[in-house]
Order: sequence, then C-alpha cells, then structure tokens
Amino acid sequence: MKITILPQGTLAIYEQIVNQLKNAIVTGELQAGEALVSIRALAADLGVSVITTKRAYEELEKEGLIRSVAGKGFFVCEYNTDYLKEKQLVMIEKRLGEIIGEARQAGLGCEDFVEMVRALYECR
Amino acid sequence: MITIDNVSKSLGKFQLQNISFELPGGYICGLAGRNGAGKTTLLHLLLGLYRADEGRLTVSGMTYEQSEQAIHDMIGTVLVEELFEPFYSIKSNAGHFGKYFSGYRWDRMAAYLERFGLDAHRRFGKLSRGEKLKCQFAFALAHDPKLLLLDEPAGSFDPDFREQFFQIIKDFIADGIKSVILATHQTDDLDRLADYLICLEDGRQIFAGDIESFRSAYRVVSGERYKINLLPQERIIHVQEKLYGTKALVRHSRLNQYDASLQVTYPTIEDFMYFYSSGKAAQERRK
Amino acid sequence: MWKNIAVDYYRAYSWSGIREMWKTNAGALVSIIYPLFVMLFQMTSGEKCAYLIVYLPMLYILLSVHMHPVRLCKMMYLCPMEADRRMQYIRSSYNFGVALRMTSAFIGTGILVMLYDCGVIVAAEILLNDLVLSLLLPSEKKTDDRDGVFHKEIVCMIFMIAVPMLCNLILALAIADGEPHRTLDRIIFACIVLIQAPLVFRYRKYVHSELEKAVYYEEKTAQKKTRRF
Repeated sequence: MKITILPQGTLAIYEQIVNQLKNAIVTGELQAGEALVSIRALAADLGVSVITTKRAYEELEKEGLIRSVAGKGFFVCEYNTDYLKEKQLVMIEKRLGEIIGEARQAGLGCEDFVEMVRALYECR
Repeated sequence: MITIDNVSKSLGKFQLQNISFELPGGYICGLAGRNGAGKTTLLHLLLGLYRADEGRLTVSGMTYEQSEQAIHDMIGTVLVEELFEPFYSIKSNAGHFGKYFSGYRWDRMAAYLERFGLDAHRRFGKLSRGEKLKCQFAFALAHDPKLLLLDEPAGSFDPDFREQFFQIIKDFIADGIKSVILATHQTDDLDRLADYLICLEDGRQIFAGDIESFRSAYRVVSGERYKINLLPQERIIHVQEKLYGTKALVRHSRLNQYDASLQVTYPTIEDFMYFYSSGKAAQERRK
Repeated sequence: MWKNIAVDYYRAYSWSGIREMWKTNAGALVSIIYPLFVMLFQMTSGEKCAYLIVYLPMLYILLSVHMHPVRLCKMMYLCPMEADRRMQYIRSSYNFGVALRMTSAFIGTGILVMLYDCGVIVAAEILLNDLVLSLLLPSEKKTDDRDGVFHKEIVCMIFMIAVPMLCNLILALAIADGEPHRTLDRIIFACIVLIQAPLVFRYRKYVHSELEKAVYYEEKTAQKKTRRF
C-alpha cells in the first residue's frame, strides 16, 4: 500500500500517516493479524524521522487499531468495522466543518460549494 | 548513548550554560544554532577536547576522565578544520592516524575512497575543499565507529554527494545502536532528517528533545494582528508583523484552541530559530 | 612509537612552517637574524670557516626548536590514546628533538676539531652551549595567561638564546685567530656554570609543565588535573 506525505500541510506528518493507515485498515487493505512494516523501514521509506513513525504507530495502538508484540513488531488488531467507520465519519465531518468555514470566508455560497464538491467527487 | 547533565563551559567571553540532553543509540541528532551559538564548543566537549567546567558528560556510560581511549575509539569525526597533514597522501595519512583505532582497516577506507571518487595516492593538501571533507568522512567511517560527530559537513559537498551523504548517515543508524550528531546551520536538512534536536542560542539551549516533541510544543500562527494579540502573552515567543499579515511563534499544548480565522502550522526548525532569536533581540531592546 | 615520532618530526619540517614561524614569532626573527649580523660583522677578521662551522649547527638548532612545538596536531588528540601514553609520546618527541639537534652540534664540533687545533675543553664548551639551545621550546602566544611566571620564562629564554650564541661566537673568533687563550676558556666556563646552568635548571621546570599541558588539547584541563592532587 502507498502512503503519501505532504510535509508542509496543516496536518502533522504523523497524523497523515495515522489517517492513511487507518483508511487502509478500514477498507480492508490491511487485514486483521497482518504485520505492519517496521518503524524504521517505514521511516526510511517515507523519508521521515523514526520518531514520527513511532508516534504514528503509538497513536494507532492507543486507538486500538494495532498492537505491538515484543521483538516482533506491530500487527493489525481484530476490530469492529462499524465502530471504525463511525470514527472516520466523525473525522470527515470535523474537517468538512473547517473547509466550510474557509469557504464562507471566501464568500462561497452553499449552492456553489455543493457544486464544487460534486465536480470534484466526480473527478476523483 | 550520550548523556549531558547540566554541563557548562566558559571560554573567555563565551559561555555555554546548563546544557542537558540525552541521546539514545540509533538516532540522528541535529545540533542547530547560528554561528557563534556554541555548536562547535558543544562538539568539542563531546570529543573530549574541552572538559566541562561543571556538569557531567557520558558517552556510552563512560566519562572522558576515566576512559578517554575507549570513547575516542568509538567516535568518528568530521570537523571544519582539516585534520590530516597536507604534504602526505590520503593513504599515508589514514595509515598514520588509523593505527590508533582498534577498528581501522585499510580495505574499508579504500572502499569508501573509491565510492567517493577519491584517489588514495593524491596529496591531501592538493584536494579541493569538498574532496578533503569527503576524505575525512571516509576516514571517520573507516574505523567502524559507534558515534559520528559531524560539524557543518554538508555545506561544502556538491549536491549529488549530499544525497549520498545523507543516505550513508541513514544507513549508519539503521541498526538501532549507532548514532549521529550533525551540527549545522542549514536547518532544512535537519527538518527531514533529524530524530532528535538541540537548538542553541548564545550558549544556551532553547530546545532539546525529539523531533515530535518539538513539533507538538510549538505552532506558527498567522492571521490578523488583533486576533494574534488575543492569544495569552506568556505563550507567545515572538510576533512578526509584515505587510500581508502577522505571524507568531507560540508555545502549544494539546488543549490549546485557536480562533478559526487563524492559520496554524507546524514550525520548521528555521522558523523556530528565527522567531526565538528575534524574540530575544526584541527583549534586549526593551531593556 | 619511535617510528611515529620520527615521522612526525620529519613531517614538521616544511617551508611553510618557516614562513608561519616568521609571521607569528618575532622571537624567531631575533634569535636567528641577530647572530647572523654578529657573524657577518666579525667575519671581517680571521678565517670565515670557523664561524660558519660554529654558526650553522646553531642555526639548525634554532630553526628546529621553532618548527617543532610540543603540542601535537589536533587529530592526535582525537586518536584513542590514554593520557599517560600521550605524555610518553610527547616526552619522547621532545627528547628525540633534543637528540637530533645535539647530533648536528656534534657533527659541527667534530668538523671544527678536525680542521682546527682548539682542544677538548673548547669543543666541550661549544657543545654545552649548543645543548642549552637544544633544550628550548618555541614560545607560543598566550593571550589569556598573563601571570608573572610567563614573563620570567620569556626573559629566561632570551638569555638562554643570547648567552650561548655569544659564547660560541666568541669561541669561534678565538679559534679563528689561533689557539684560544686560557683565560678565555675559564671565562666561558664560568659563564656556563654560573649563568647558564641555573637558567637551564629553571627552564627544565618550565619544560616539564609545558609537556604536561600538551597532553590535553586544552591547557586548562592539565591545570585542573594537577590541582586535584
């Protein structure tokens, strides 16, 4: 699976990693019980610090999505898909809220905004 | 691997004060600061060339007072000044100094020299600045050190070698045991490379810790001036006003919220150093 | 270890070293130019050969003293070595230097004895004077170390250069003019015993402390160490 990092985005690098891994788990790209790439390997691959990937994995562990096995690495947990989807939706809602705020500031009306969303959705 | 505990050193007018820091094995540590901030002094302390006036410095649990030889045996160095003799060839220099190191082997040195495109039989004094640095770097690696201390190396390397240099450093720490300390004032390299960070300003450390703690601890807030002025004063390090808007560096904690109209981003090391030193300068002027 | 020392010693000889020394050390200028003038001045009388044979070893000795400071190059302080080993290296380096300088003195005096009939005592006196010169350490600039000890050492050093050189040149003059007078012998001998011996004795303490300081890259470290005991 691919992870892409935007170094100067508004989201922290570790957050970007967390989100992308979370999506991969929810969509089933990463199966339950599957081993994740080691912290160092991921860091080397993405060109970021080991501390950052370590933090990302620790966040995921805190959220109960992955677990660490001493000496072996990190593995994807068995999980409840619905619960995760719910959490994802909450996240999307929050970010949408931020974007709507920006759109309002730019003077974009609701209709125009929805148009924009539709156009982009169809593009992707 | 390295523990610095409240170390101070004065050299004539310059003073390095209360430096405390821990670097475990397997990481790259960036040492940032303007020229004259104390980076070279700290490196000299780590190399045992200077001894601390106060405080304690240990490398792998050993102090220089007790185990100078053992510590030097595990450190590879590249400094700003030339360490080899100019009238002798690279090979002869390497042999002359290398014999003191337990891990030094000529075949390793030769391999690095070939990799860097250097001819071992050339006189050291006849090399260009970049080549001399490459040579020192090769020698630093040739005795299989556990710790690399590099003082402003990348500035004089040509761009294609810089990438190779960074890759070598990353490979060096990959075993999780060896570490690198890289002193530089080119902080963009550190932003993408460093795991740990020490920022020095005027002989004092303004930050010491891992890169994620650094990113959690500070934010750059930009937007309208009055909105920024609404932020609690004790958290603001410095406010910079420009034509298009105002920017400020603030201390951040998890619970902090910011006004929706403000743009909040993570500071680069350069931002941090700039705001911190501007803040200090402003403080001085107010006095 | 001796091979290293010899190699290090050989490496230190360089034209740029002499140029460096010229720029940084006015003392070098004085101690070499001054006797040159004296010699040239005195070469108007008697055989020129004797002066040269006496002067050249002294020139070599003084150049050698200035080109071989006690402090090692920076890389040596980064090489793994225990402090006592480094001390041994520094001390042996110094002794090697003295031995090498005295060898040139012996050669010079040997030639002198062969060419002129000057007697053993005179030869011995020339050698002793050369020895005093050989023991010198180059003076280094110390900008933050302004205590009385330093000044006295400089004065000591000036005498240790000027007196042996003058003595030797006077002896050279005497040799060139024929067999030296007995009284001259005695005067020079008295000079050696009364003036130079105490100077050397005092100087040796200075040399010892300089050698100790050179063990560490930073001088203060050596001072810190000795204070503890």
